[in-house]
Amino acid sequence: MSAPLLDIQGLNIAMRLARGGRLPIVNDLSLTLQAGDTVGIVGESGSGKSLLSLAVMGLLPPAAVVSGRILFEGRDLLSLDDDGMSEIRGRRIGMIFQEPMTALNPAMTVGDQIAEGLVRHEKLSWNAARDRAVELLDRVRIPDPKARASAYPHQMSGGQRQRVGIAIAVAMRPALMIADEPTTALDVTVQAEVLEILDDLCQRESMALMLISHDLGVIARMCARTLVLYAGRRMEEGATRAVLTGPLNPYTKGLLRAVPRRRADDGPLETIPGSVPGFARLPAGCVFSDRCLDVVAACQAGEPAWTSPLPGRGVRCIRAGEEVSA
Amino acid sequence: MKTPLIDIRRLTRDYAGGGLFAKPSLTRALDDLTMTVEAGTIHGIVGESGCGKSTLARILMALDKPTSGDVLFDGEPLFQLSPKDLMRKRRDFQMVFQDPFGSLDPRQRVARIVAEPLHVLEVKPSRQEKRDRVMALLEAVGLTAAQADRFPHEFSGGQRQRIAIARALITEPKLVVADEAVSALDLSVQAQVLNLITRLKRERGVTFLFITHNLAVVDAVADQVGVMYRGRLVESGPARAVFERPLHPYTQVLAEAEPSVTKFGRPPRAEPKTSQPLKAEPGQGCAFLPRCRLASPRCASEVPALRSVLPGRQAACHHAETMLAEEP
Amino acid sequence: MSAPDLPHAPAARQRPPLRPNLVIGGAIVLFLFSVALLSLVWTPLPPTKMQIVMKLKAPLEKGLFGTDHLGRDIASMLMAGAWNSLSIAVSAVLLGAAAGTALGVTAAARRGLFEAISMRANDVIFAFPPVLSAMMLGALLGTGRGTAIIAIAVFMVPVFARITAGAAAQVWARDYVLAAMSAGKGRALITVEHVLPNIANQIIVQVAIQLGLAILTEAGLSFLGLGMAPPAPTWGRMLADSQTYLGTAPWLALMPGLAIALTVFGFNMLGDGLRDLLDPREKGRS
Repeated sequence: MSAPLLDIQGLNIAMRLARGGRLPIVNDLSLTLQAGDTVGIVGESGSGKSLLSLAVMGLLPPAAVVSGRILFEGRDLLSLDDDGMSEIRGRRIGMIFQEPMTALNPAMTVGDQIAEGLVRHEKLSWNAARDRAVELLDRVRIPDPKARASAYPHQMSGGQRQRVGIAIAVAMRPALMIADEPTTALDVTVQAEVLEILDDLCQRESMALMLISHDLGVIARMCARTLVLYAGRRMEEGATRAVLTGPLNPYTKGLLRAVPRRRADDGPLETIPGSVPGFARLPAGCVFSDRCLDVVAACQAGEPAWTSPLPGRGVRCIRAGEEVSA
Repeated sequence: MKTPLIDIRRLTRDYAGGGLFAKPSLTRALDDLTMTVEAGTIHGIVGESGCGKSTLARILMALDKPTSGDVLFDGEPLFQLSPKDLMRKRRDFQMVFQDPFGSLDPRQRVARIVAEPLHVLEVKPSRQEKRDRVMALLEAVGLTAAQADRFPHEFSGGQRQRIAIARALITEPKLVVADEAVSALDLSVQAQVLNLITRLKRERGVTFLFITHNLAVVDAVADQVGVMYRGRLVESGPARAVFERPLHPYTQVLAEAEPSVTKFGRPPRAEPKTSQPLKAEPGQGCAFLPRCRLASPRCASEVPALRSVLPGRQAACHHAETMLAEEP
Repeated sequence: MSAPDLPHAPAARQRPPLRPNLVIGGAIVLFLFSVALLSLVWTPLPPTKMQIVMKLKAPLEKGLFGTDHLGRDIASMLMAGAWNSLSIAVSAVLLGAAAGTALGVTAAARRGLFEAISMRANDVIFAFPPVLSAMMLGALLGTGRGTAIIAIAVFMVPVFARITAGAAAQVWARDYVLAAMSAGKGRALITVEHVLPNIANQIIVQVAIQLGLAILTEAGLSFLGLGMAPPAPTWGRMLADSQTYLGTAPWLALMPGLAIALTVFGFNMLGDGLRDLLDPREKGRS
């Protein structure tokens, strides 16, 4: 087996506090992606999922303290300096953001923004790069790409801007694409189109995708594997279908139950009681123990270890074993 | 037959665009919209951005005036009331907004925020009475009286939305317009807020106009639903029936586009459209025509009116019967 | 969202660490105000007392900072000058801030024609340098404390009008304003209850920064003889008087120059520090 494309081992991220001390956010996170893999990172606000993507991009805020390893194509990203990182970022790792407007330059035509990276990294001439930009706009299914290449971001709709964002990210044919809530701001029909474009690109270019989303449906649509995060910990991992149809961790189960759906008996929707705790006030033991419906005394005794009760599955719950045998 | 709580009659709202240098243009946000909302129900309005659902909310809250048409609230035409009568009427309708971070004034304490709508009352309650009502409501929405003296930034998104709901309820309104009220919330919190809304309907008889882009959310709580496209109502009926059996192609497109935890991988590709895409002249024909799989020449020339297709079910489509005949 | 998704949950309220800008700026400003107030009751020598025999003495040779060409004690003059400069600057900025804020929030609340006219009028006023207004006002009212205050205040009005109009427009776009409108509140009431409390921080920061500018302007006016009438000592006139003796007695220019620089620096530091402390952007999404 070849070396993995991205190999995150024992990643910990803490934030230095203004008043001194450190607040641990991401704890003991490991994740491996082969070329062409699609992995969904599921988490609610305060799960640390965005910090994870920023860590891989080398874009963590200065107050972050990182330990562990992020091996990408064999190089440890955490030990790279800024120059080395920006060499990889954009060229080998592309990124798509939630609100493309903030990631686009309002004073530059979208065609030039796509071409810019090609000129800088691939040493294309501006003319050749602009031609490539038109091709890329066509690839992300922007109608009349030649004319739209000379449009400015504000002249486009949200869906079109997100397509431009994707075109910029794929221009360098990255081996890994990180998409942080790429369709959250879009309408459902536009979201479906953008997801299809992304899906096409992954398949055609055998690009690996790390999709971060709070929407389990989007993950089900896009990702072969799923990693569920809660309060900075991975709670469950496995093939998406297996995780969503046979969850082992009570948190995953709770999330799935909380997906709004019509109840036959018109009874109340199922919920997870309470709300996501702040990182400063996590419960003792298992971080989910204060909201868990299956909690037992042992849950509060210590943080459960990451175990693999089934092949290809990982879970952090002391009661997962009962679940598997049941 | 009892009068509906809200009777919207041929509501149209145009916005003038352009400016000093751009050429003037007219955008029609609401186009001849007619619908009714029965008291004591949760009425869902579904549509994508630009369909006019937020304009509808603003007009129902009397924050904006229609270009033509009127809204009968409890039988009274809202836009023919004197300012004084409108002020009195305001206690009967309140609103919950989408962004739980933008809808609460960061400089005010929760008690003051929740009490704000009491301003519309002619007889202002005493300070103690005010405080009692705030406390009772905070408890009714699942917060504690002790939290009344905190500032909004001390609460999570779900808790803030509860505060916003408490504020909307303090005048004991008949109608609460909830504009994307749970869209910004985490999944685990979303269901809690939806349950709260259902409970308030059941226990207090509050009518909710629940505006959202999320079909699953509407399906989970709404009794009735209206689907909007480009300022028009294209389908309406009981929520369960509409989602089980859409009678408008747009409703179907929306339902199919929505991701779900039971749909894995790439959806089957939609059949290719007719080779010659039909185009309607602006102002003529069906607005959904360019995206419609059932488009026919009639759709290009004749605007489909909202009509009864089945008892209680309405659709604005020439081909609603075709939809009905198809296998679900 | 690119920001780390830290929970907004109410962690124990963070005490902001001491900010060097705030501390240094605050200390300088506090010191200056103390000196100015002290000068009302005590100065080493009467600042207007001339002793020609003692003229042009170097610092420490006579008094702390030496004497000027008329033998007046420079330290005493600086102290009295501090009161004159600060009182003019503070009155002018407060006056300008009040008028400008009133104009700005009204423009944001009314929009339309009122906004267009008042903002264009602001641009016209802003185009007049305070020196010019002071000359015109001086011709009308005669020079003096009042003229200087009004001339600087007039210059401040557009600055505050523009800042508050922009900040208020942002508040008007928030949903909580819509909520207040659906509670039947009028524009004036919403301005008082929601808009002003939410833009107060920006106004305070701006007051501190504009105070520095006002000090500078006041010094400029009195340098040109458009400020307070002699013999009242002002830093600007001390500078003007020093010109002839720049070669022989450089401390005559240096002392008031340093006083002006220190004051402007202090106010700017204070403004920056206050901005760090109060700027809502620092407090997450409040």
